[in-house]
Amino acid sequence: MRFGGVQALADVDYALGDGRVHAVIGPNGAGKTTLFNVVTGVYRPTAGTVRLDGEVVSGRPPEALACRGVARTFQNLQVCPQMSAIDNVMVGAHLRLSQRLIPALLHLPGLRRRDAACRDEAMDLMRSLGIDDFALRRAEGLPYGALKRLEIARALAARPRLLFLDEPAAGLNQTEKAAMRDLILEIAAGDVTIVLVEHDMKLVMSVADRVLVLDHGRKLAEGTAAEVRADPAVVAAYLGAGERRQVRH
Amino acid sequence: MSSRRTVLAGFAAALVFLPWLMPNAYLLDVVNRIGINAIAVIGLNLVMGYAEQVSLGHAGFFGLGAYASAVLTSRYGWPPVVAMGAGMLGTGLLAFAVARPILRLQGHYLAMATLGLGIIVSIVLTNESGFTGGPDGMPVDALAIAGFAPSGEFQWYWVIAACLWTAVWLAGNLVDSPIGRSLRALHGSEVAARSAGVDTARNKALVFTIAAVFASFAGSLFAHYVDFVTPQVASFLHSIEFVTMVVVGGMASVYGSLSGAAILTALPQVPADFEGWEMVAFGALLIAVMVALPRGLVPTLMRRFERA
Repeated sequence: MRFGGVQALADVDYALGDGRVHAVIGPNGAGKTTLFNVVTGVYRPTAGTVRLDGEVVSGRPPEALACRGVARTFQNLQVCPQMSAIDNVMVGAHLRLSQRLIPALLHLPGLRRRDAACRDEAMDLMRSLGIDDFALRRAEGLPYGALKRLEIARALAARPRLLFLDEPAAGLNQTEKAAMRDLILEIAAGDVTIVLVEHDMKLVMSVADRVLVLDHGRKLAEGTAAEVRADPAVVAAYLGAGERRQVRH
Repeated sequence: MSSRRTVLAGFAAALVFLPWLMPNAYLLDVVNRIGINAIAVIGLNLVMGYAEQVSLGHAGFFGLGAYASAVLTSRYGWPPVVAMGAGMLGTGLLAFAVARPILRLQGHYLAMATLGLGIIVSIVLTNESGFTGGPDGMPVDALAIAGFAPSGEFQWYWVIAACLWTAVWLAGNLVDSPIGRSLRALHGSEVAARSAGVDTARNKALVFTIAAVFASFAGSLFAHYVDFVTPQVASFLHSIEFVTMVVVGGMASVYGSLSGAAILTALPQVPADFEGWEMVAFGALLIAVMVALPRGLVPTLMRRFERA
């Protein structure tokens, strides 16, 4: 992936074969979010391919990937500020609701019933994420931690097979981070493959089955959390002296 | 949901009481014209407020409806309701056909394309004088709905009020449906909406089409109400009037469209020697609203109300 003169990603080859939770780590500017944007269709890669179930999906728009069971959250929150929190979650269920015009114009009972069922489901999701108190409030005034969870609820409302979480723990305090870890493990225990970008190494090490390490847009290492942690190249190039202590415990 | 029902019931009650408050037929005529314009403006507001596209050719759709009713009833003797339906269908098909290529454009280019569309309609209506009577216009047969032919402002009021209420109901339903939600989501965050599977192009095209059908219907109603049409109904200035009504009343607000239509339809009627200065007044009002109430009248007031 190239932006003008900047090569943001090159030769990153990774398969989501085995493992439920995959983590992408690397220093700032390593290309983690760019990788997410390429594989979820937000960016069209300038070279290379993304395959889903063997089918080439690179260059397809995000809505096409959503149809194939891909959902994601965003590093810089992408919620709709004017809409209520629960409406934001219901947007996630978009593909499961009829988009036909006539039932929408006439509010036919079938559409109303499905919409109400979807609202109940969204409420359940919000309850399980602990944000049901905010359901009817406008998203714009909600606390940061709630918005992070709101994005996850929206992604889960799509009932994805493949869930991309971009820095789910950024800006959360220790208690919230612990809750986020439990949440990620809980989602993974369902039938969802999770890929996350995360800076918090403690969180990554405690949830990830496989880790991909990026540096300057290139793959530096991949393997299990333990393998990556022991890889001298990773320790030298990315973790650095300051963070080595943090990794040990 | 239930609050929307309450407001709809309140609106119905207001419509029932309104004509009894009108001291004379002249004011009732103004009210009727407001109602007809409001139907077109409610549709346009779906495009501008929810799909976030500007249409500077909306009077073109209004004109197509008006002339479909005029030509099909007067020249071919079609029943008015059938002519009206044919106009809505034809206008809807035209809007749907041009929606995809037009809505792919952005900003000024989109505005220019819709402007061009409106002007083409206006030119066709002016030049096809064999059918349309040319620049002088043509008379329109009286409306008859299953044997009932409304005559006089008072009878017409009930027809228009029923149509207006239905338009408000339909537009509210659409906004409150998954389609409306996806459009609002698109407004909040396009990347998030698309990542959730929202098909931007399809939904924008749908709303554009619905708005065109509303305008066509309003045009037909207008043609029968004033029983004479001229190509002026499809003019660029008329399109600008519709846009001004949306902006003054408030984008993305169904009841805003009503107040916008009310203010701008009533305004030119106030001093009788206003003629010729209407566009200046419209322009001044538009600028004043953009400066003082950038959200438009109704959304600004609702925000105030919510805060208090």
